[in-house]
Amino acid sequence: MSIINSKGIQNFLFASAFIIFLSSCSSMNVTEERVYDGGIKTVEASVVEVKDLDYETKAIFANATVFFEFDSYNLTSKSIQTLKSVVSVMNANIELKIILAGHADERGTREYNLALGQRRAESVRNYFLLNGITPSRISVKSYGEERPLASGNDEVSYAKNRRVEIN
Amino acid sequence: MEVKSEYLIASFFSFLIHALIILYLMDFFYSEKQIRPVLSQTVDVNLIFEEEIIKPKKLPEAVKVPSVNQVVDKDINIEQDIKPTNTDEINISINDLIKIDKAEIASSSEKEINQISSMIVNMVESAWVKPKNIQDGLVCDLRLVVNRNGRIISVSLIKSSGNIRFDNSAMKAVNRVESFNFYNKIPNNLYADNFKKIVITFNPS
Amino acid sequence: MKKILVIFLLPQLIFAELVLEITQGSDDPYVIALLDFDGDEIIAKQITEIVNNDLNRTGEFKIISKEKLLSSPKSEEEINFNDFKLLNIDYIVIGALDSEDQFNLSVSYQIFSVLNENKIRTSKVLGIPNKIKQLAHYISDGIYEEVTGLKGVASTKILYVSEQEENNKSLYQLVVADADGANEQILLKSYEPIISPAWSPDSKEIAYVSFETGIARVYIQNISSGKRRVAIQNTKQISSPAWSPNGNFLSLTMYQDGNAEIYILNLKNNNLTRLTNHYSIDTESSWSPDGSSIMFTSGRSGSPQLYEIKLSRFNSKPKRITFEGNYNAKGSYLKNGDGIIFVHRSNNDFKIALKYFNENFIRPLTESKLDESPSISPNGNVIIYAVTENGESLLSGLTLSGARFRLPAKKGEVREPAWSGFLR
Repeated sequence: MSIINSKGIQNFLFASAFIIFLSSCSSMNVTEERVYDGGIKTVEASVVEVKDLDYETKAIFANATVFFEFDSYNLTSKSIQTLKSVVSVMNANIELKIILAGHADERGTREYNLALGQRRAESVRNYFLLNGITPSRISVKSYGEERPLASGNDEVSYAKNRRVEIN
Repeated sequence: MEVKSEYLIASFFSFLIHALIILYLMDFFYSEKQIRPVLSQTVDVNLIFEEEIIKPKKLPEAVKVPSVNQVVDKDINIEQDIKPTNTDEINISINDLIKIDKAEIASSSEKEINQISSMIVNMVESAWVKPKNIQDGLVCDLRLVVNRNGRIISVSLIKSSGNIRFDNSAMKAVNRVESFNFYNKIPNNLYADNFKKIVITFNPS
Repeated sequence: MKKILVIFLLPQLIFAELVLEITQGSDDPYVIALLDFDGDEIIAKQITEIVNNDLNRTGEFKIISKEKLLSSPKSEEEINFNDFKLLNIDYIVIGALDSEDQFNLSVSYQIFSVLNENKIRTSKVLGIPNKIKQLAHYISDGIYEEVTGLKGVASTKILYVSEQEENNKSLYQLVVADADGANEQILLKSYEPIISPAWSPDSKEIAYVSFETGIARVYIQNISSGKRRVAIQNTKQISSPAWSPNGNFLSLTMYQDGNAEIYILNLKNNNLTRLTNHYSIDTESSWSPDGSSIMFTSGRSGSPQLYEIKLSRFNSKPKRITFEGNYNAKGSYLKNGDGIIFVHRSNNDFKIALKYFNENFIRPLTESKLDESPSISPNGNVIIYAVTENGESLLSGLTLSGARFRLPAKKGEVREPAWSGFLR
């Protein structure tokens, strides 16, 4: 690109110098340029294999989802109920590891929602830590608004999307 | 109580330095030589008629001829800055002219100049479309050269607002006016002194 | 023979894609007579059409159609300026295709000022026969620059994310297209979400967040070679990349202590510097044009608001810059640094808004309910953003002068547009 540009610039300088020599009465702009269009390459994202969860844990945690208010990551009392039962299951099965995935509804900006999902997942994690679960058994991530459960644009759908899923 | 002399001397110097700084900031040391003319040579006498210019009502467009306040305060004789003209009236200092203006508001040629100035302002104002989404406080100055028939021969931007769209809109307004059809009614002497070269400030606030 | 075939096919492809909808113009456009370019009819028609659309999309031009003109001069000598003065035309553009063979296509054009009855510009653009669009965009930009004094953006590119259904899965693609939405090319294909695409200052590389490994990671990819790398290796997620104006740094959002915080990565030596340290969310960093400050979204006052932090002073305190409303996010600076554009929520609607630093009020720019991801053109005059309408998202644009346009509908949903720098 630099080569082509400098050629264009050279041409331009030459042309403008020439014009200055001619010294036309009005100030006129003279340019010459070359179109540059760089190539583009397509990349396919590598698919990472997600390790299949232990089927037993899947069965136990299928319903463990905790919901939140708009722009909030505080646990509601209803959430705490759900989490209590998860804690007891965790305590009963010491081997069990869980992944907390935080989500947000589609309103607002994506990055902020990504961070919000993360905070929601962290809230749940903190609850678990406070209740004696060792940190190594919990991993946390966020999908922001990228993986909604419900696709509507109404408050009902939004409410379903503000969640943390426990797997 | 014993007062150490070093402290006294130190505080005296400190006082001196602070006083000097304050005085400098208050322009105590300001001398007239430092003044540059507000505009270039074409600071014609017509510029006094600043109070004539309309401050805008609700409509955003206001075109006013720039003030010469700075010049007036310092009481500068701007003779050398004025392009040579034939009349002798210019030898009077701006201060005097202002005094005359205030004292004799009904003087006839002044009246006429005011009238013509406001006609110019009105024409440009009605041709000006202020660009959208422009921030407040932008101001730009254009200099126009107008020939005897009122045709605008040249327009140049002498002070940019810093926003190209704003500057462009001012240029467009003047280009759209193209000519002032009332110029033939201006007496020759007034034209040469006041209306051959004019500076217009675009100030929407 | 072959050459003629190619020329016949090309227009079909091109005209099928380009459905530009200009929904509103600005109040005080420059009026231009754009005469048909002289030369091969098909190519000339294409060029004229593209230049016409480009100039219309800026919102600052009104193109008088051929039929309304009183005369159609083909060269300078043939111009009767009065014909154009009568129609209140400000400028005339006359162009011609100079030479054309298999490998080269050159077009020259001249611009005339009707007011002063003189020629104000002569330009020549050299291109390649199958890249006619780009050549036409160069011409549009040349005309725009000569008339307005601002650099044109018809020859720039936009980057966005598209999502469509494929085999019952969502296919995400990172797409780069011309500023008018045409000429789409795919940079990345993935079955996991892609967000936050960003251009490097020289527009040769892009950064984006991809979920392909299971969590959000920031990648830097070279556009022409396709080579990419993870911006920084990390076990925890990273997002929200933004390049510094000199291209040496990348600001990122990292979640090391569980909370979103802003870090700056030195691209030359991989040093990481932490910028924020607050228990609330800090994300969506964006650099000022002179590189001296970073603006970001923070929840530290209780709701998302925009803050600015000066980089010159170590440990300087972030200063809040938005005070109206309870949701202000994804800010980016105007190109001359005298204001910002951002997403603003009022009455439950998310709009794009503009705020100048020397004013203490917000100017909403858009009217729909779910607008997001504004990106501003390199000349600072046009904003492109994503609109959600009837459950679908598409790209829309508005110019500061008040014009609005829609980019052509694509398959699936499109969002997160990012505008490249100047490419000419």
